[in-house]
Amino acid sequence: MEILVCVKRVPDTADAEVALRPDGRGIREEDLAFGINEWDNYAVEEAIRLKEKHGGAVTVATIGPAESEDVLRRCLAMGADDAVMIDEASFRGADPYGIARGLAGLARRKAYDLVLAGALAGDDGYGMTGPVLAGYLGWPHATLVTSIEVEGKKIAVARELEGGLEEILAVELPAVLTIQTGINEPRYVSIMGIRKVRSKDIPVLAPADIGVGAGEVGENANLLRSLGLSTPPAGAEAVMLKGAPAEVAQRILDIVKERGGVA
Amino acid sequence: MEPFREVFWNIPDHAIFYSLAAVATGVFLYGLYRRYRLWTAGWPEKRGRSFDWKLVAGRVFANASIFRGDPVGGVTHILIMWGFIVLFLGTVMSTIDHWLVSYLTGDLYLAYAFVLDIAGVALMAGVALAYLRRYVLKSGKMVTVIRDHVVLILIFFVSLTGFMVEGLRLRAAPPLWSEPSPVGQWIASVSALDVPGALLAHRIWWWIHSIASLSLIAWFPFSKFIHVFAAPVNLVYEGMESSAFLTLEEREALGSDFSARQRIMMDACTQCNRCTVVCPSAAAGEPLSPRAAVDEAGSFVRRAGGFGLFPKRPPAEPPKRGTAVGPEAAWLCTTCGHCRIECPSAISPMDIIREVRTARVESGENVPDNLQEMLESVYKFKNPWQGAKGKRMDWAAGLDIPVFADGAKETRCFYVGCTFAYDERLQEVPRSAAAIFAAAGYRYGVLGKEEVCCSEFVRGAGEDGLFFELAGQNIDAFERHGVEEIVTPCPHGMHTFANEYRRMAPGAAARRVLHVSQALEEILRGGALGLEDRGERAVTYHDPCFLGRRSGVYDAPRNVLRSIPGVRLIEMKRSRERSLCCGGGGGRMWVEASAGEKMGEVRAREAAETGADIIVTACPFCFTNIDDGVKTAGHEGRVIVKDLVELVAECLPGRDGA
Repeated sequence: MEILVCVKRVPDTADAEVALRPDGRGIREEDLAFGINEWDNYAVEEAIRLKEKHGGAVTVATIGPAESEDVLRRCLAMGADDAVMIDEASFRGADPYGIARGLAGLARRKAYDLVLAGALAGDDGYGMTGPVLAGYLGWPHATLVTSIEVEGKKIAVARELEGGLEEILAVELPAVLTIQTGINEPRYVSIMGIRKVRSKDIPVLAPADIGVGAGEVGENANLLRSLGLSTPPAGAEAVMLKGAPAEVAQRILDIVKERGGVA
Repeated sequence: MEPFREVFWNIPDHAIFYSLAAVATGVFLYGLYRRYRLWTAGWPEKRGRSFDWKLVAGRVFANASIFRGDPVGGVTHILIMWGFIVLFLGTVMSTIDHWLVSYLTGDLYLAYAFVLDIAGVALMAGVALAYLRRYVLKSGKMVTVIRDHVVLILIFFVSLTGFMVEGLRLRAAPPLWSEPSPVGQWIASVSALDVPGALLAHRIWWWIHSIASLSLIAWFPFSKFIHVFAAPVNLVYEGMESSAFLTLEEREALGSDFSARQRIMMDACTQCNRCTVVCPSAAAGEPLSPRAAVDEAGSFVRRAGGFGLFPKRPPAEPPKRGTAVGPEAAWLCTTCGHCRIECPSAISPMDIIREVRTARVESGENVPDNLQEMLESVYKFKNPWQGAKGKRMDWAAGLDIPVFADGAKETRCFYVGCTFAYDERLQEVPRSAAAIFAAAGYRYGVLGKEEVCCSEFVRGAGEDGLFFELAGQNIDAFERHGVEEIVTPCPHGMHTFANEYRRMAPGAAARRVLHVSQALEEILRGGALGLEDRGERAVTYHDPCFLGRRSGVYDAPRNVLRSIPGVRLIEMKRSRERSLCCGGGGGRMWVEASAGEKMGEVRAREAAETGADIIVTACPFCFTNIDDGVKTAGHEGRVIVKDLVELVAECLPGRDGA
């Protein structure tokens, strides 16, 4: 089974205080920690498990800045066979349509049976790349996948739905799947493991290599145009509590009492 | 007639004996060679030239460390060891006398005969004590299996039959001089045999004694008797300091599962169980026994190396080091170091366990979830708490703290540490330290956002690559800013900077590393700062493992406590080098055991039993675990936990006592 996994390097913003750039179109990145998008990590692990079970090879690919190489090396250390980068220059500022267009070109270079991507990216949260990529390829796709069973040229996948429901789909190969977190337990990747793949060649493809012409992707070719980012103002009912933990706890207790939460 | 040593008296068949002896000696030498090969198949550690003879002499010859806390065990060992050595030397002397030069005559022979008799008695008494200790006194809490009985009984049997031979010879043909062999004389006197009967019995017992002795010799290197060779060799190693870590690539190139030293440790172990008796994890009822871990690892190495009298072909696929110790047990060790200082043979079960972890981390198999999350956090965020880099100086909000990157020109670095920087409750500790430093005019700078995790627990968890990477970043930062002295409130950082960094960077050894308690001791010397009395308080001090056992600092925090007015120090039952671990070291902060009590609860209870109002500690992990323990074990309201630095800061003039 030949599997392509699309990954993305994203900043971890969960616990960080995110500040906007002065131009209001992005965030300040200096103090942020970057790494593989969490959903993508599950996708890579799932691809490696499928390979370990059914044979074949796993290729990981990304469209991103040069620093994304670290993310690819980490995937190689996990057990991916090959990694490939697409030169980011012409994709700078691209929306998910542009990114998917590039990835589709890459997916056509080899007879892949399966393309996996994270269901969502932790930074922009569009959740579009996978489905749009499937559209470009003309392949079936399934989103929010929580399990994959291979049955010959078909697969059965489970999808996570709201309300604790699960849907089982039969999907013809080749197909695109977007992976939900929790589908597996990604293995630990040691520094030693990363060092061992240090010298592995990671080719960087030009747009022409993936059938993308000049000006076909990138900011000017976008179908979606971001008008800006902002921090929503606190609602009338929201109170930000500041101070020592003990004071904050006391204030919470007071507020709960005030509103009749406890006697 | 002058007394002399009888050899082969009443034994005509010298050739048979010598053939058997040759076989036994051959097997013995072959076994030693096989052990040597087994040891040297391990990878070599890098060691310096300094050597501690005193340690070796005290431990090997006087058994000093065996007596500590277990006098009966000490006496037992001394009797067996010296009995054995004297009888061995006696045999060598007799061989020289028989084959080379005859000198065992006259008074020298009489003294020789007497000393050997005493040595035989010592050996038997030692074995008797060993059984008394195991089954009557039960002082050693030992785990005894068949092989231990075989060893003890064989020693006893060889001595006993030796005395029988001696006694029957004296019965059959009393020498013309009075032989100073009290046991032999006694056996001769109680024997009812006539002369021909005694001659026959002597011959039979002589052969039994010979065969038993030769069997012992042949079996020696294949059994736990190898302790006799491995333990002194290991103590010699212990006397040589470790000078440098192998790099990941060097380690990789050397292959092999365990180091030569670790392999020697496994063979030096007699399974005396002292390590497990003091192990905090075992004490809390968790499924870890350091003794069993060493035993399992030893079996693993012997199996992998095909060791045995008839060498087996080593398995085609080398067994995985990650399986050398039980799947759960290997993650339970807190690397508190108590086993290491307790072991008379200087075996370090925690090092062997850590070696198992390195293999698991490298393969990514069987790494507990929380631990994996911690390691990933250190990789990504440079701290174990997923704390954003931008928040590393949050503790200093509203304070004027000199930061190196902002131009502070200082030679002393105050390394805050991740937990003190990110834990909201513990941020009070660096804030308190800053207040004391300001009052004392004590100069320092901090690394601020450049500071990364010391990674003690990353190394403890076996992720050496990540440890090296982060250590490299801190070492670079120290060098970049010309840091000559480091002061830190975190014992894990202190241990790492003082004991580990010097094995990575030549310049690191010259850097003075202090725990904040040592800095406070200096600052407070002579009643400086004029600390104010905030009322009578009984406090007990919990020695953090990485400050005490791992770094040797016991007195500084106590001296600081004594210099606080109104504070009365009560010691816990287990303190100083016998302090009980809180359960936080070596990555254990992120590993849950499947069974047993929380170590922090055990310690909190012990601390509460002293009747103290405050449990003082000097480590972020100890604080967290013992504070949790106080709450979950129901001591809340009776005793509180504080860091030493906070206790001092509260008494600064003009500050409110909290």
